[in-house]
Amino acid sequence: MIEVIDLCKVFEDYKRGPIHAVRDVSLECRPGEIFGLLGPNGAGKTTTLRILSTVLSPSSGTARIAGFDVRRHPQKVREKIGFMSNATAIYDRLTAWETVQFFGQINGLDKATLKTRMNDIFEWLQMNDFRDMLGAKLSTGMKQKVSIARTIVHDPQVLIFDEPTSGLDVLVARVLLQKILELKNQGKTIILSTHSMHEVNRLCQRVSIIHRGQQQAQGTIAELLEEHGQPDLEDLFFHLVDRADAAAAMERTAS
Amino acid sequence: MFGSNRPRVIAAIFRREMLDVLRDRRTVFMMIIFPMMLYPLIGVVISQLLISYQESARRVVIVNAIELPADPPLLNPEKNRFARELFANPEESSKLEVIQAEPGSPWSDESRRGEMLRDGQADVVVLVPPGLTERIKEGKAADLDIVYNSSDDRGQLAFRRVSDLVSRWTERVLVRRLESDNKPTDYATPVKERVRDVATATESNAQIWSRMLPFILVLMSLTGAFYPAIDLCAGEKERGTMETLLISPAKRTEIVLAKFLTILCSSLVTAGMNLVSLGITSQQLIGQIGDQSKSGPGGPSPLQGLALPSSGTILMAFLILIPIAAFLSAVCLALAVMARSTKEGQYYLTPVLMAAFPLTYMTLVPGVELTPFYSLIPLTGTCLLLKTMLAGRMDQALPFVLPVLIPTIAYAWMALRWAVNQFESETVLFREAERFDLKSWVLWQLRNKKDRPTADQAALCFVLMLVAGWFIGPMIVSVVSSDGILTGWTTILTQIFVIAMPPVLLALLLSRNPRAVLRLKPPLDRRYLWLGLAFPIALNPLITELFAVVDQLFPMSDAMKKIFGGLTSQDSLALSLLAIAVAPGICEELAFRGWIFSGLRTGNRAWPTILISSVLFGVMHVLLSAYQQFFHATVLGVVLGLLALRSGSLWPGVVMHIVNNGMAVIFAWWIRVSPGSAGLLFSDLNGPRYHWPFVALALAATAYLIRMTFRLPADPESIDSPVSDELS
Repeated sequence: MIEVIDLCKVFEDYKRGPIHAVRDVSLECRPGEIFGLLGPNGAGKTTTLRILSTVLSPSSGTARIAGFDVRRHPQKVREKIGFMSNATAIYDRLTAWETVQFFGQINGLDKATLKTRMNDIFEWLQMNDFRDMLGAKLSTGMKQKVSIARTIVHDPQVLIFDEPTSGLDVLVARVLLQKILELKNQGKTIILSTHSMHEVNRLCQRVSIIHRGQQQAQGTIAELLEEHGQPDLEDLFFHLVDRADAAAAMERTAS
Repeated sequence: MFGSNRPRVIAAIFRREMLDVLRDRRTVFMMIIFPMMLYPLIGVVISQLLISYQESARRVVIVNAIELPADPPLLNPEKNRFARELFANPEESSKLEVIQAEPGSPWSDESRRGEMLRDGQADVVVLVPPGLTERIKEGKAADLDIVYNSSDDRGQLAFRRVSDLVSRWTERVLVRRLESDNKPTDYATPVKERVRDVATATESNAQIWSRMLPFILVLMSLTGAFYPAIDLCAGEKERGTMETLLISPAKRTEIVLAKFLTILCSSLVTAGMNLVSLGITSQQLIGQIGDQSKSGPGGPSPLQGLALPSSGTILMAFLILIPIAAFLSAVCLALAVMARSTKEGQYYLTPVLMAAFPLTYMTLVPGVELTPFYSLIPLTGTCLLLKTMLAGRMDQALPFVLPVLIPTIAYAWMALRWAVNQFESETVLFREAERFDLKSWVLWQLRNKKDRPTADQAALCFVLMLVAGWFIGPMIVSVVSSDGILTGWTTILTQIFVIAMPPVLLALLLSRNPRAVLRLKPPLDRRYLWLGLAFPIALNPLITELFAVVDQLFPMSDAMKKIFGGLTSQDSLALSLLAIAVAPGICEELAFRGWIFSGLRTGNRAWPTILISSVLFGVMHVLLSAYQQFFHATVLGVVLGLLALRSGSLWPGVVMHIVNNGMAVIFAWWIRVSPGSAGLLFSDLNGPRYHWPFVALALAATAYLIRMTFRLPADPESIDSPVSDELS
């Protein structure tokens, strides 16, 4: 269960002054649901998700994961989540098996549980062919599988995927999305950021479209299409982005 | 900070990091292969050099050799070498080749001779004067000119040999003369010196090792820490695995500790491998040289000194190395976290080495021994301790083991804390590789003033004070006193420009509320001001006792005493009071209980703030006057810090500081003017030291005053928790 309330993140930049990477973002994501964060590059998706994973702290507003506040109980939060993004690579000098095992250990799993859990995961993701290969030697698809295995090894309730399919070929991406859907069906709470409408259509029950750090619209896809009178998600997306850009331009000329 | 960490998690991360290090070819190379190859290579080069060095003979030109007497001979019958019997070891005669030159040859021309010596056509030229044989026979004296080039090593060496030979030859000439005059042969040497060296072979070995080993060990443990640190922090950032680790439930301190232990291991292994390889190589080398020196020219070989110290000593040395390796590892770790990429990390190596070199270099300087002051300096203390131990002077080393190890461990702890702070800062972990622009950074700092200074800014203030002391201090002395004698005015100006200026400027520039940051508000309760008055009076007998103990342990040089005496006696009483009591009372308080105190309190608990600020206060006294002042300045600093913390104000400290320093001035004046009446209070007027009942009274009074301090209403900031920089 993820609750985000009026989340803001301001970065200090010596040249440009304060930069509002995320402004007043609120959302809620329930078990058995995939929530989509849709937005162009630089919209603030990664910053939002990094705040949820506690590696960044919010400038204002709060976020709670499984009831724990990201600011006050960051460690508890990290115990409850599995986080995967482009910036979370795997170790080059560890084998696939060692990498997953290591993350199991620091998540506090005991030896026996870890072993059965890892056997299940390696089976489920079909990773046994390359379990003793070093990270550096793995293909992108294999690395992505190791990353998923690492993300779910401690069986977290909440999963956060930051643009999980970017840079993957269609075959690997398809397998990955399939696995995410399976995780949802296991009752996990999943939040996923992407700039692909196709993925949102395929996976997400509800979606939030963000641009320029601000939430432009939120709801189920059907609700949003109806509310804004747009024929499909793509049109809706461009409509909202254009509207936000126009508003920003207005603001600039006004000031 | 390290209280609630889970050993299991630390162990898991440590295992992984070690695996990572051991699977990295570069670090394994630096740790193990490099030292294993380096010393044998150096050994081969040295032994080759020695062999070729031994074979090459030096050339000596003798001008006008025909004039040399036939008996005693200076040259051999063939006139191409010096006479064998003149050499202490006749085998060495082959090392000097003699070339004869005619009086009209270029060698007798002064300018040509110089050129030819510089060109290396000869190493030494000996000019035999005309009619030498005759003069010797007639019992007269003559000059024998020896010309060489002292800027050339070979020339110097050859000259020393030739000069020895000539003096031995002169002795023989003298003996002949005495014989012909029927005098005993030792007539001209009524006293002969007989020199004996008590140093055993082991001790001479130890001497060489004690200079070299600390240097090698410390630098190698630095190298051994540096590369893995860069790889485990900046490298992980670069490879994208840092964030993977950060989103795991491991605590930041657990991650830092595990990485720290890994780096420490690597550092110690590197130092150890260097030691082992160096030991094996040197044994090998001694074997080789030993064989040669048996067959070759006699005399002890200089390399026989390379026999290793005993394994027990080396083990002790290695144990002493652990804290300093920990310190270096923690420093490298903090720097490595700061670096955005391995490339940036590599750039930090040079400044670290530049800082480490002069500190370790002290062991190579002859005559530098451990002192309490050196024991406080990171690296230097350990190096000198290692030097003393390896030199086999255990009785001198043992008293310094704790004085060296405790500060080193404290430095290591502080460096580790710094690393943890770095690790907890998201701006450090997620720094983007943006171009740094000094102008916009300064403007940003000025635009975004904070309510409170940070601990970094407190440190900045201290560094600025040191820099100001270095540059402005001598300027003040040269302007105020032309004869270089310190007067009250120099002290006052130094206080204002060196001590007070940095904190005041920083407060005006960087803080939104300079008054609050310098703690200029009135104290919470007026009674704190009375405490400020009472504390120094109560503490004075105790401080003088402390000072007496310090003076006994680390006596101050007479020159130092003169300077301090001069300060109080030369000026009028009013000027002395102004210079020694009022100016420091205000200026030093502005710095140490003002800006630095506020800065340290941000993010620190109350007691560490007091302790760190008073140690800085003590260190400042070391740098401004003498290290003997460190102890009582630090003790006073603790009380001043306590008053500042509880009252929330600078003023009680100012009162206490002025009264404390003022008492020293007034007592010195009193003792000078009326020793009789001063004797009622003091048992020893030179210290001065109080009669013991006053000391006992002082102890009781101090205890009472401390109790009072804790009973008065306290400033909200004195509640013991770190103060966040968002609160004012």
